[in-house]
Parts: sequence; structure tokens; C-alpha cells
Amino acid sequence: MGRGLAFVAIAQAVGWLALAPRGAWLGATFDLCSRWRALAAAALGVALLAIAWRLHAHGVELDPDAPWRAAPQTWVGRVLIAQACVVAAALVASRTARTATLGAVLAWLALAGTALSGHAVAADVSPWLSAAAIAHVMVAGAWCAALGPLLLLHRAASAGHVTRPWRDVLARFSRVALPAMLAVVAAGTVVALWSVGRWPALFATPYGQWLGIKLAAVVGVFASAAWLRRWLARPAAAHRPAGRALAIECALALAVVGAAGTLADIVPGAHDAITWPDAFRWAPLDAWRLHAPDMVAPLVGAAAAIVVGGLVGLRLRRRHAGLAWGGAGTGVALAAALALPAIAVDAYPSTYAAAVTPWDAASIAAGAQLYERHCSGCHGRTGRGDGAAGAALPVRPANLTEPHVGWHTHGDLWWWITHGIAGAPMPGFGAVTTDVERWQLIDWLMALSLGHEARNLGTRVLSRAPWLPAIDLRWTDAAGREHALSDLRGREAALVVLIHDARELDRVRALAASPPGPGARVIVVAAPPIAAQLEPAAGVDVAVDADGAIAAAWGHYRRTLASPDLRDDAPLVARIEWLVDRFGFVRARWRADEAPVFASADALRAAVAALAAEPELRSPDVHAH
Amino acid sequence: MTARGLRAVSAAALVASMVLAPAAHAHSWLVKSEPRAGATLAQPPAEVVLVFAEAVEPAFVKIAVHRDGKPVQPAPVPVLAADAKSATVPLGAAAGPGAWSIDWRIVARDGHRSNGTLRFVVKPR
Repeated sequence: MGRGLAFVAIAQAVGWLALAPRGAWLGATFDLCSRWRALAAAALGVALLAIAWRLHAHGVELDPDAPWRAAPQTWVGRVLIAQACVVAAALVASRTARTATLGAVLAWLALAGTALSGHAVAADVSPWLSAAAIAHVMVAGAWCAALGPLLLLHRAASAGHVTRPWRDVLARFSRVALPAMLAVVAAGTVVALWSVGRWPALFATPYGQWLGIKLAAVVGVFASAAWLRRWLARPAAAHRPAGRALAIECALALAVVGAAGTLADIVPGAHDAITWPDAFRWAPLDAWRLHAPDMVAPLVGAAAAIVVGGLVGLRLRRRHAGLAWGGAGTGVALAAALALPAIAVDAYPSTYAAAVTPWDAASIAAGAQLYERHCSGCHGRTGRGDGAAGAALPVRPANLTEPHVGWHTHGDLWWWITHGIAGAPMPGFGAVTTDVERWQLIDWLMALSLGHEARNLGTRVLSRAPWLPAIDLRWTDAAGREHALSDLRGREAALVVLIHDARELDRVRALAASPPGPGARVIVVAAPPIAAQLEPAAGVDVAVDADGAIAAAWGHYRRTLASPDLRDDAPLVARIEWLVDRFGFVRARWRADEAPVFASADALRAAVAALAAEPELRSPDVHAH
Repeated sequence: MTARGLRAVSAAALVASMVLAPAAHAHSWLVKSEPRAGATLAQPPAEVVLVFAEAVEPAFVKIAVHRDGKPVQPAPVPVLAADAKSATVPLGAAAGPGAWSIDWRIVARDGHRSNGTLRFVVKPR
């Protein structure tokens, strides 16, 4: 509450002080300067109280026994103290007419404190985000500053206490306000994109819902501003309705500030758990993949409705404007009624839930064991829907090795595994598995699905085309320190070499003698008996795969177009190498049985150098659908 | 609507939006740690590194280290990185086999609080 109150009070003081020396220009018949400086001083006094209240509340959260000592030890506390100092300086400056403008500038600068103590700046993500957040608050403050004085001027003009036509004042404000508000919206959009994160958060988190309230109020502000601009364009228009529109704009501005203050206090949508509120979601691509034939007729109908509605509107626009709008509107409404259900797919509360497991070999291995225990009876040992228990079911269990698994969100899969699928024989396993176990199962299902996609991997790196997320793997070095492939993220590429045959160790020795370059590490994955034969070498890490989990997980990525190799009892390949870029994507693969002539050391070094020059193009988070 | 009515509605809207604002949640969390959560190590680590999603307040990083349920004495003092996004907890002489838990409690730079527990096991082979 303190944040919004301080903002409104400081902004109002900016307005009073900025206009206080302009009494002569406004043609005031009273001592406008003294009166408005007094108003500003009162507003600044309220702001100081609000800041002090906020500082105390912040201190109580940190240390209830010594709130005033705790608060200055934090960034927020120091920002609030600095803000209070600048507000106090503005208060001093408001005492004389000569320094009123200085007071306005100081008060305006104090508004920056609102942004500096907010999430976007305090999180210290990037200077651009901080600059956008500060610009958003300060330009919005300048706009807000003008509203109070404008309302008062309207009343004074009505009573004849101000001789300059109110219309002139309003026209001057309007010229500046529109570009200022567009700048506020642009900067606010940058901050909102970061703080909301994913679009479902707009609908399914308190942050998104409050942002919606704020946006609705902003739309109202623009609507009342547009009405005022039209009013200004009409020379003989009445005086009074414009005052009402301005009052509405002021009320909406307060709603915007109130919603903004709330947004600053709650968890940004990007950091909040998403519980989807509806039984459907609009997802054209997913809908097309899942039921394309059913979509054709409604989409064609929707397009026809738009065309017909548009033609009717164009035809009638000169003679019957009302009918024209009605025709076009009916076309759009009909198109929406046809198209929106067609592009909808089923959704559940967990549809956008975030996985609690890492995308790593251990999780996939645990998922494989859970699958064996709970699922293989119906879905078959290798996931192709050919289990003995499934044969008697009225609906054949899904073939989980097909790409459709990856077309659903992971949260949808979680819901089905937990609660079962309504109208299908698939039961829920929520009572016999833990939350973490169901996410591990999903990791295993994703490995199956991505393994199918991995057939498209080649032996050459395709420039700027990362798409297959590497599976994290861990190893312990000779000193007992634990390492992970993900530790290299943002720093080094990796050549993951999976060895099933000790005769292939010569390749590792060759790599040790001629490493793939300074920007890449070699990580050898081998069972203990093979790993034991490998002598330590600089630049080569050895992940001893005691339980076979890494080989099993990465084995999903063995499939090629030449060896689709869908059966898991296929013979093991003696050696497979995958080149992983520094952002965690598998970019190329060589199988010893398919590409006996490996990329030369020079070619490998060139590929690593090319990858090192690539920027980050996307997140390797397999759980982000 | 009259001007007085508008004033009343706008004041009510502002007060309502401020009063109805939900209480601040904690939203700065552990994104990574060394050792990792749930890890089983052959040798005890010399230190534990906690990496947070955002910068935290150095004066309000509280760590409690337990080994097999008992508080480790003397209590390790966390050292914060220059960017205030990670804390290193030296285990020193206390490092040894057992079930370890690191309770952490932080205040993010935007003033919100967060807490959690990192668990790992040291089991010599």
C-alpha cells in the first residue's frame, strides 16, 4: 500500500510544483503559486509518511526486534532512505517560489525509487531491463503528475478564477501525453514480458490477473484520452463533459497505480506455479497435430465468415454505417465461434506445471524402472503398446515410441499418469507413485520420444540449428569432486563418447593426444571394467557408468535413419560420439558401425570453433513445452 | 455519475486494490547447488555452494548445517560471491560421512524472503 500511496503523492507534488510558477501564464486571479506549493508540500509530507511506513514494514519483516536497524542493511531499505532524502529536499525546495521548479525536478527524480526497489531492478538481471523499469515508472509519474493540476484548473476555469482557456491547457497536455503514454506502454511491455515469463501465466497466476486488471485500466485511460482529443477537435463543444472525461481518466489512473503497486508486491508470473483454470487451451499447432481432419471444415467456415462479413461491411459502409459495422462484427463473431473450438485442445490444472526432476540420466533411469513396474504390462516392454495385459482392453494402449508423446505438454502427461484418462482404460497411478516418480516416468517417456526424433541427427553440425537437448550426466573425478555436463553450460562444448567395447579405447587415446580444441571437453562414458583400462589423460573426463544409467539414457539418442533401431534389445553399438554445444544441445553424432571414418581432428576442431561462435538461440529445457 | 461519485469510486478502487493485494510470497529460490540435491558422494565435500535465482541480501543469508540430524559445531559461516547470487558454506573439519542437510534462509534483493533445505549423503565406497 505504501508504494502506491508514495507514488501518487510524489507525482502530484511534481505536478503542483511544476505549474506553481506559471500562475501568470495561466491567468490566475488568485495566488496560485503559494497555494499550489502548499498542496505540493502536503503531498510530499504524505509521501514521506508512506515511505517511512514502508521502511518500517520492511524492517519488521527482516527483524521484528530491531526494524529500523535491519532495514538499512538491504538494497530496498537503502533505496527507500535515499528516496525519503530526495523527497525531503523537494519539500525544502517547495518553500519558495524561486526553487519550486527545482522541487519539481527533485520530486520527479524521487519517483525512480519506486522502480529501484521493485523486482525488475533489484533482481539485477540486465541493465536494459532496469532501464526499462525506471523509464516506465518515471514517464508514467510525469503523466500522473499532470492529472491533479488539470482537474483543479478545470474547476478554477469553470469558476472564472483562471482566464487562460482551459481548452488551451488541455491541448498542450494532450500533445505531450500521447507519446509519453506510448513510451510508458513500450517500457512496461519489456518489463511485463520478463516478469510474466510464459503466456499461460497471464491467465493462471495472480500476477497475470492483476496485470490484466492494470491493462484494462490502461485501455480505459487511452479511451478517455481519445474522447478528450476528439472533444478538443470540436470548437463549440460544451465545457462540462470534458471535465467528466478527465475525472474518469484520473480515476482510471488511480486504478492503474493501485494495480501496479500490487504487482510489485506479488510473485512475478515467471516465478509462480501455474494452475490452469480451464478444461481447454487454445493451441493451433497442437490441435492440428492431434486432430487435423476435424479442423478443416470449421477453419474454412471461419475464413468464409470473415470474408462475407468484410464484404458486407465494405458494401454498406457509405449508406448504412451501423449495418456495415453490424455485418462485419457478425462475421468476426461467427468466425470466432467456429475457429476457437477447433483450435482448442483439452487442458488440465497441471497442463503448464513445471517438472520437479532434472533432465538427467538418473531421472530417466528411475523412470524406466517405474515404467517396467507400472506400465509395461499394457504398453509393452519397449513402449509400443503391445503388452499382454493391453491385448484384452477395448482400446489398444498408446504406442509410446511415436512422436505424439512429445506433442502433449508434460503437465498433461503428468495429469493422465496421476488421474488416468477419462473415457479410456488408462487408470491413474497417483495412489501408488510419488509426485517425483511420475515426473521421472515422464522423463523416460520424453527420452523415448526424443529418441525417435534423434534419428534426424547427422554427422555434420548444422549451423544455428539446436533442437535436441542433451541429457545431463554426472561423474566424480579422482579427487572425489562431482561434475556434471550441465556445469559446462555457457562455457564449453563437450564430446560425449559412449564406449561399449574396450577395443574402442584407442579412439579415446587419440582424442587425448589430439584434443578437439580449447572450447571443448571429452567425456567418456564406460562401464567400470572398461573405464578401469583407461589411463588418466588431461582434457578427458571419465564417467564410470556403474549402473548403466547413462548408457541407457543416452542410448535413446543412438537411433539413426539408417538404423531406426526401435527395439531396445538391439545389439549395443561399440562406440557412439555426440557433440554437445555449450548451451546443452546435441549437434552431431557418429556411430562406429555407421561412420567408421570419423571426422578428422581438424574437422572436429573446426566444428567446435563454429559452435563457439554461435550465440545462445534457445533454452535447452526439455520440460518447457 | 457525479464528480463526487467519481471521486468516491476512485478512492475506493485505490484503497481496495492496495488492501486486497495478496501478501508477498517468497520467490527467490535455489537454482543449483554443489553437491546437488539428493547426491550421494563417496567423499565429503570441503564446501557446499548454493546458487540462487537472483541476487540476495548478504546480511540476511542464514545457513544451518546438520549432519545426521545434529547441528554441526562450530556453525559454518557462509561466504557470499561478489554478485550476491551464490553462497559458499565451508564444511572444514566437520566434513565426513553421513546424511547432510543445509537449511538456507535468504532475503532476495527486492525484499522478498525464501527458504529451503538441501540434502545430500556422504557414503564412502
